Amino acid sequence: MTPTHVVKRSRKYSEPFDPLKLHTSIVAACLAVRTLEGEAHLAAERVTRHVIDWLSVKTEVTSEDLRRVAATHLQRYHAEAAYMYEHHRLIA
Amino acid sequence: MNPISFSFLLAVTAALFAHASFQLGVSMLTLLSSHAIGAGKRHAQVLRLELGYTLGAITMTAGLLAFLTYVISSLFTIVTPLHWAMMAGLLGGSGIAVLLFYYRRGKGTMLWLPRGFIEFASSRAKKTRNSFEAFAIGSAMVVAELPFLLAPLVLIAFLLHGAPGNQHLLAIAGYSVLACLPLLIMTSLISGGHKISSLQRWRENNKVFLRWSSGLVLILLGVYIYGFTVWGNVP
Repeated sequence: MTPTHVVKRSRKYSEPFDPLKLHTSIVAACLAVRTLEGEAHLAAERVTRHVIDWLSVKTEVTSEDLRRVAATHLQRYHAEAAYMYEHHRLIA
Repeated sequence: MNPISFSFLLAVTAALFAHASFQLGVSMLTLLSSHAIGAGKRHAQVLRLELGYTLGAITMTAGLLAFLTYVISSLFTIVTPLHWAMMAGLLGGSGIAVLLFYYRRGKGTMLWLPRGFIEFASSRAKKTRNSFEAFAIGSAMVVAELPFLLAPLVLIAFLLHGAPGNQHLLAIAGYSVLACLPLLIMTSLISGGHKISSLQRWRENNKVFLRWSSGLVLILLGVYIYGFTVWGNVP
């Protein structure tokens, strides 16, 4: 199976999807809203699984799509973290 | 203006309000704290970064105000009604610009600042490890906001015209700290355990209020300055 490619925001290049990178960013969003570390990793693991399922039928997605889908799933496990995860590019 | 008059205090308070609301609009402190907490940094490290950022903003504000005060005191031996009229125009123009351009339309609290600059500042905020870098980011954000901060700063510089040097220093220091009070409050809230998401939600829910209040305050201040100094009695 060919790995799904993620087109970055600048649209100048793409890179293979990295589940660890997604996991790390979700953990960071959870920790930023004072979630306990174990809970943050659990939420990140669940969301990453959902995203991997969603990506299984896709060959190329944009990083915005990835962020939106991850935020939608994170909303179910941690609404505050989902808010920060989705909005951190719209803050400044 | 007489430094103990009601008009003087009203002008300073209005300028401070507008300036402080701009500091509240810039969310780089939120981003800096969010990345630092998200990266699992210790509480003391996060606090050091926040204080570094805030100190940078205060220092740059003080530096800019001192520079403007020096330039205005050097260029103009007396402040004439024409100068005050120009000042009023600058305040009114800035107020209208705030209403039209300060916040971008859409979700979030994105400001008018160029996206390229914000991307760069955000990436630096993410990678910041020491308080000196946070200090530099805090200073840079004040410079980036200068088109909107200029009107209140120039007004204060004009108000300080003719005051003794030691009063200049005290006024500049006091103004800079009070103008950056929102940053100090945010630092204390975050270090006190408040969620960054709730601060950001508050900012997002109140961005229309912040835009209208700061814009209208600047416009009204311009009208007041014009009315008081051009039509009214000039000391």
